[in-house]
Amino acid sequence: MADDDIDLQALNDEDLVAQMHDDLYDGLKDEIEEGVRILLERGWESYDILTKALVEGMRIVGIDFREGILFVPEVLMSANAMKGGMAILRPLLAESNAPPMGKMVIGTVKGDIHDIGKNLVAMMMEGAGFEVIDIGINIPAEDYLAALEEHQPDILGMSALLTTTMPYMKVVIDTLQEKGVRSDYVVLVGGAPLNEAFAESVGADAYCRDAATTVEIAKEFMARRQGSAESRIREKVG
Amino acid sequence: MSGDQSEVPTKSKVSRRRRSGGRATRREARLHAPIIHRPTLVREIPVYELLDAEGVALVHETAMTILEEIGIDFIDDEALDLWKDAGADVSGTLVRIPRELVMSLIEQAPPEFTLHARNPDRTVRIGGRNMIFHPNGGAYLCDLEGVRRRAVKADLPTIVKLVHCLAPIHVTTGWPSIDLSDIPVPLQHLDQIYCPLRYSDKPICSNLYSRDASEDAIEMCRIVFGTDFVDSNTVTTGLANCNSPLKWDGTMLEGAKIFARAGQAVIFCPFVIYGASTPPHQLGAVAQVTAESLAGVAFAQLVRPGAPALFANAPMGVSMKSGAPTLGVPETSQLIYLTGQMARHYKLPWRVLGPVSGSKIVDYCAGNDAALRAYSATLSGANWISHSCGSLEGAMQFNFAKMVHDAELMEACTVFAKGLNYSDIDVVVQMLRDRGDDSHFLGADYTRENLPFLPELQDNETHDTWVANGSKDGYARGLEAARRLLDRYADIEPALDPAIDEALLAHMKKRERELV
Amino acid sequence: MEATPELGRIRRGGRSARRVLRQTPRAAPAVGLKRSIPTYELLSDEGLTQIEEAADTILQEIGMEFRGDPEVLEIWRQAGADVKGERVRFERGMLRKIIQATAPGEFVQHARNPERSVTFGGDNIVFAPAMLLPSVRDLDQGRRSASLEDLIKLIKLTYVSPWMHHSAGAICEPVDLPVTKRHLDIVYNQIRHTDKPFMGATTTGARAEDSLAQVRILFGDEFVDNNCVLINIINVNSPLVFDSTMGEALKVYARANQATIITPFILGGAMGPVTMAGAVAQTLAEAMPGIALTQLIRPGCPVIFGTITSSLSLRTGTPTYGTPEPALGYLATGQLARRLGVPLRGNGSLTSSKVADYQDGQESADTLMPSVLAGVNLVLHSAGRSEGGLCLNYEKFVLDMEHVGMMHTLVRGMALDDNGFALDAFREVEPGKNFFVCKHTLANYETAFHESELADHRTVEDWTEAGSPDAAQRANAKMKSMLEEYEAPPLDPALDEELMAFMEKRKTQLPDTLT
Repeated sequence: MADDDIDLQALNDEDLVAQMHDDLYDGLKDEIEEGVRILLERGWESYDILTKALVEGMRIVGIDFREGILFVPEVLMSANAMKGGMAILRPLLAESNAPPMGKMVIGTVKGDIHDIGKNLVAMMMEGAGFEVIDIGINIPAEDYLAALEEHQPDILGMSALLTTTMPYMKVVIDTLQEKGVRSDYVVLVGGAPLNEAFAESVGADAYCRDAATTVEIAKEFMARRQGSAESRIREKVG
Repeated sequence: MSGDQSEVPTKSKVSRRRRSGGRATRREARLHAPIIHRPTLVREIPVYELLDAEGVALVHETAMTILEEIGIDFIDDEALDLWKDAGADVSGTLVRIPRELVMSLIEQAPPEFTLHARNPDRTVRIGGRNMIFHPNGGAYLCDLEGVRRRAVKADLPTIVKLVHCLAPIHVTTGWPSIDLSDIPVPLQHLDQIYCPLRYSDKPICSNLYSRDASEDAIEMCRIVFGTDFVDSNTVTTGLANCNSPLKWDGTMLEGAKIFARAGQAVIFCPFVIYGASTPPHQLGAVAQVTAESLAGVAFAQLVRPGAPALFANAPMGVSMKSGAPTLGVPETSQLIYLTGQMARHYKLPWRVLGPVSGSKIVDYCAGNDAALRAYSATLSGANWISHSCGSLEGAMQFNFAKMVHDAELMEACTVFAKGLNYSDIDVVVQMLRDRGDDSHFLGADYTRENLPFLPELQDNETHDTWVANGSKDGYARGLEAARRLLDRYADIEPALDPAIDEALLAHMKKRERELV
Repeated sequence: MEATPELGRIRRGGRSARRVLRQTPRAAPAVGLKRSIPTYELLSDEGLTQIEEAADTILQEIGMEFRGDPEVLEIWRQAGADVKGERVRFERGMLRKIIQATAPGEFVQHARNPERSVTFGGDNIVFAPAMLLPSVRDLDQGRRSASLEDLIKLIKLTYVSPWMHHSAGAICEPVDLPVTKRHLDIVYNQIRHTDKPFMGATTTGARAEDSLAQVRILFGDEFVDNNCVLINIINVNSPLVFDSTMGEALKVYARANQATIITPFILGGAMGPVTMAGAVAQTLAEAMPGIALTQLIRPGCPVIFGTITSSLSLRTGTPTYGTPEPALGYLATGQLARRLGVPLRGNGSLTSSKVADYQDGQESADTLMPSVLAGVNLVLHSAGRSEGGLCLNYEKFVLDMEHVGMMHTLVRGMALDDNGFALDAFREVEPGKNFFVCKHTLANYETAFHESELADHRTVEDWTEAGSPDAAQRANAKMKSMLEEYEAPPLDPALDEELMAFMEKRKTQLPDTLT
């Protein structure tokens, strides 16, 4: 099916959103950016564009990735298209009082330079609408702290591939405790030699066994954070 | 979505990636991907030469000495007359063949030939750089429930259907795949030739183990392909086993004569247990097999000059502790390489046993034997790789789960045999130049367009995910895959002209009355 | 034939003597294994040249990053490389010239038992087990974190196996010990429980110094300075990055005249391209700077070109093993290493399977076989590595070692002599009869075949009566009997004490946890 000649402008809202889901699926960045602009022109709220067009489209991509229909490079293309749309929406979202999608600082721990897993997670998170600050590899505790201070994220992600470096995650988390900021962040850890028990033993909030799972877990934590934020607000109002 | 398409022409989007139809299109394409039967594999990698030219000359010399001095038994009066007329030294049943005679006869055998399928798209080429995969079975079947038992008539269509669904397997099998225990032996061959013709349109093999079987095979092929076509083309191949050491039996010779006369191909394969029916040294064994197989190929030329014939070896080892045949021993791997070198020396198409195992079940040893032999067969440049899927217990058991595993292995061999493609080098240099902040290649268009071989049956997930999916081992996954694949047969069943089918069935009815 | 003793006719001590002979474990090979069969030449000379030129282009135009190590950058500047920031670019052919001037084509790694010293390079093949696996699994206790006890068991199994020449390093990672100290225990236990050669730590420069101190106690300072007693894995962070951790260890070992194995780690599709000609060019481009660096630090010090390439399942993002592309890659890399003139490290039984099943057997064979035919000199990970390097499977460990035994036979090839052609046997045996008791067979049967101890050659009936054991179950039994067979190679108690004292001292100096 060659849909090359579709004029997005000519589609009604419902068809345009459906087409954007397909364009995300096909990893078409230009088309997604165009779709976002058209919806904005038609007076859509940025939050609605985000949730109904982009996040919903990426949800479908996620399902087909898990089912083994989509391949990693294709999902990355979708994520890249999503990122294009997000770049337009992000300043608008910041101005509105829409609930934030979430922000993550991610890095591979000191001594470890294996970052392919971390990169995958970063891209999938961006694909899900998160703002991701990737601070790279071989990261000492002080650099993690500096990045947290600077970017004020919701989530800290740490990865390691080596059994000799993964205990460093505890060093970082212990430092967060010492500084009294541990509870300000959701700490997610991942990497091939890790497991649930290890994550628990170092005091992380969760172990993420792969990139797709990380997105699910991150969304769950964001929902909880927003829930508790809302209830805090309600408490105050009440 | 097509209804939403606007007729308003839009601005040029030349630089953009093409829309490919989104989710619906891709899901459909991936979930219901057609089974694309592989054409003849043309090997693009070099062969592995275990011996140097001197070594090959020595094996040749020894084989010639065996034929000239020691001689080979031919237990068939007509064969003895043919040899006598051709100038061989015949005393009793022992034929001593001068090397000039052998060499001039085998020169008449075609170095390459075409094996026609009833669907021309499935027709394959035998010899030269061509490789094809063919399954063989055994006395027992390990079925879709995982039960090892004698096979019955009803199993054969299932076997043929599954083989038909295995894309990398070129030739189907009715015979020599499996004994059908509920059919009297003199009648078994009728089903064994009917089922592959009926349920598959891949090329077939047939039974030449008796006069009746051989004649019926040719006759049924004439019904399907037409008499004239069969007379001038090869549409089936029979397997003749030498009773090693150095003895061609009457039954095999009779079948070989019928096939050769009809212009059909014969694989002249010494059935050797290395160390029992040959000396326990690779070179002596290969010299012997060479002498035996060459004698067969030469004989086919006496029957009909130019008759297609395959040089062959079916190397199995023997456990010197129990006397049982062994399949994965490294010596058999060496024998495979040596046989290939001899076949090329004589410019003959040749056949060897592929990924068969001595294991009783689909376990580590089965996988190990299969891979070792599959690689050896591929690197040896074998033209016809038999037992290419499902064979266990030293070719005594046909195993459904292993069929799909081995087929995937043959698919891997297909990729391997294509070798390296240099055209990517410039692309790679460019990718490294362009990579910028991306320290990886995952998102590159090039990666997406050149997906590497993905073994679908092997579990590459993390341990946790594997556990979450039921902790299935290779055998369990193989069995599931076999069931799944068989479910797809209905979509790709090749039609057979009902008139032809009726004629085949009528022939079988008639023969059943005659043969009982 | 006259020269061949007719063994069938000689009294050899009857049942008891033969039972003892057959049940005693075969002694581990005293000398290294030499390949007598040819290597498989996949690519033509033109093809190889094309790949080498691409590697030169990568090194010249893109170059390699040496992160966080001003000393290394200075070494490169001195050597005439183009250094801009941390990026180092090399003139075409420059690295090859440095390497070929001084890097040894063959060298010996000494073991504390001289009979077990191994030679790398040329036609020599050295088999070593898996390394660095954080978990272990066996049929008795299932899957669990690896411990020091596991490491000791694995060192012992490797020692008992006649097919393993080398004991590798941390076969499994003893995660019950603190990261800061376990490198000491690993080397100590390698010295204590085996007399085969082994590897040193590379995770930091200081740890590499500790490994060196330990082998200096064992061999003496002067011997270590003049001889290779450790080989050490240095991974390149593909694509085209050399980080300071690995750089530190490289410098420590090269200065001490010990061997490093410079290994680009390429997962096709992730750290390198999906197709192999390009991946192989990248491997060569990434290995040469590290190899040349060792020669600039200490000309003539031993070094090995390492490769570990696998492809990626682009459906899940996880590595796949035993697939055709890496096999082609190994074969091509073998040719390139021979042209470069340095020994090559490849890999044996890699798999992503979780258990010792068909997948495991198939993927392992499809890694080991091409490595052997590629002419690899050090076959690392040739036993036990499952789950793509995350779990040491004990049953697989034993099965793989048996498979490696088959490779010993395969590479020995065959002699082109009269005995090999056995013409007399044909004169003796009648057509259609068997060769079991002919003179030639009786003279040759004991050595004629590789008798696998783990392949089951019984009839189905006998096998069923024995409980239908699969390969893994048979391997489990074999593993236990191997551990019973184990007898520690003697170690001078004074040396042992000194080694222990050093380790204890260092442990008090080192922190318990990472900082």
